[in-house]
Amino acid sequence: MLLMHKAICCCLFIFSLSFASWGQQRVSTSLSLTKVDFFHGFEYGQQHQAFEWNVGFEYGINRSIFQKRFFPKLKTNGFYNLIHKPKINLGLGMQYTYSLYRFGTTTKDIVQFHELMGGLRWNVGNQWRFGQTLMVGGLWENDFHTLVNKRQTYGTFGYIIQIDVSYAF
Amino acid sequence: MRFSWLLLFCLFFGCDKQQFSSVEVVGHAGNGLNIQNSIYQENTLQAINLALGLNGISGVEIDVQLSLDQQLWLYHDEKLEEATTASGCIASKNSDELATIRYKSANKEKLTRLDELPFENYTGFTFYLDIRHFNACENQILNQAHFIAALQPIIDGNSNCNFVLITNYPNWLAGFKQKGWKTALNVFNLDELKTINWQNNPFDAVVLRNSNSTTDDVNWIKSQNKNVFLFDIRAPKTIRQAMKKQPDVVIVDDVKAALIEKT
Repeated sequence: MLLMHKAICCCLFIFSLSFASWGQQRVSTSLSLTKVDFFHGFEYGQQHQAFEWNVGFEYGINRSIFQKRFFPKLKTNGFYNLIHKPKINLGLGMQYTYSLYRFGTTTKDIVQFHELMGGLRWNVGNQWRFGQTLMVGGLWENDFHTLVNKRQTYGTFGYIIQIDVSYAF
Repeated sequence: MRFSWLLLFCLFFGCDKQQFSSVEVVGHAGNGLNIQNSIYQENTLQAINLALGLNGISGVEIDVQLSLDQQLWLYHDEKLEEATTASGCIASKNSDELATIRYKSANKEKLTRLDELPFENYTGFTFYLDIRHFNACENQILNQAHFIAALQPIIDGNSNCNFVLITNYPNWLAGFKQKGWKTALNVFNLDELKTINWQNNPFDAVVLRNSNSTTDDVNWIKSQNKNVFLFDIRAPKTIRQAMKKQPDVVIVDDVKAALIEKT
């Protein structure tokens, strides 16, 4: 099950990266607050007219830095910009993320998170852009439950509040 | 460039951790109290199940209140309007009404009755029952005999689990101790503990807020043959600080963060 999740996520990520260049490319660095942790990361995206498609890698700051327990996250998102002007974009979109970390010493102690969210994103600027994203949606946590000796998934409401700085090529 | 990668590697995988294997990790109100990364509301069956399923946890602390019809319900706050769709106090309501109340949380969990917990599945775990002796709606102290009568079948009927009764009302300690139950006294700090008559108010452990205790305090209490439980422990840094004091138990809000520190 764990391997399957990893495989799906990696495929999605590689698939996203393999898109041929179809618009303006940009890279960004972001800081986000989620229900699970603060995340810092990097994103690569392309924009063609009103459409944006991005993939990114992030790490959980509390777990990775303050607890030295690597907490990676892969994400992919797409937006349709309702306002699409040279210096300002405001779009609606969706995002899927997959993240995991290990809290114990065995592979059973790996906890995984899936997030599927929708929300708003806006950015201002020309080549250098400052942006904000606000998303809400579902958060699913998958743990190995020692009482029933199998992995179980628990769902709840999740959110992402993000700020980012990007550079458009 | 080569050294910057090395720096990043050390940042993520540095191995200067201390070992806290003797410190037991206990979930505060199940899987954490008022903590944003908890999937479930505190003091619910779901939160307790989730916490006790984590590899390495020793037990959970839960808040126990007595209803008007003398059933034990799990709830943290004094008044129901703090976290649920209802208002008033548990001590002023019957179980029929309490059973219909739901939390305002995303999952809308029901209030949980203590005897609803499947203790047969929780063999070896310790339940730290924080006994709420006060009815804030009527401004009165509850009858301890009613509490004992409600607790007795649960504690006696689930010998596969361990129970520790926590109270901040010293007058109730002797009554619990007479039943042969383990007791813990919740005090503000060591100064308050020293004002209490230990002969008349017997207890096995002391519960202290982490921010109000020092390593010396912990060592002194342990030298008196009492166990020490520290609580109000949230961020990773605070968890580490608490564990360094070497208490017997840390009652934590972020259980997984504490298990990371323990391992």
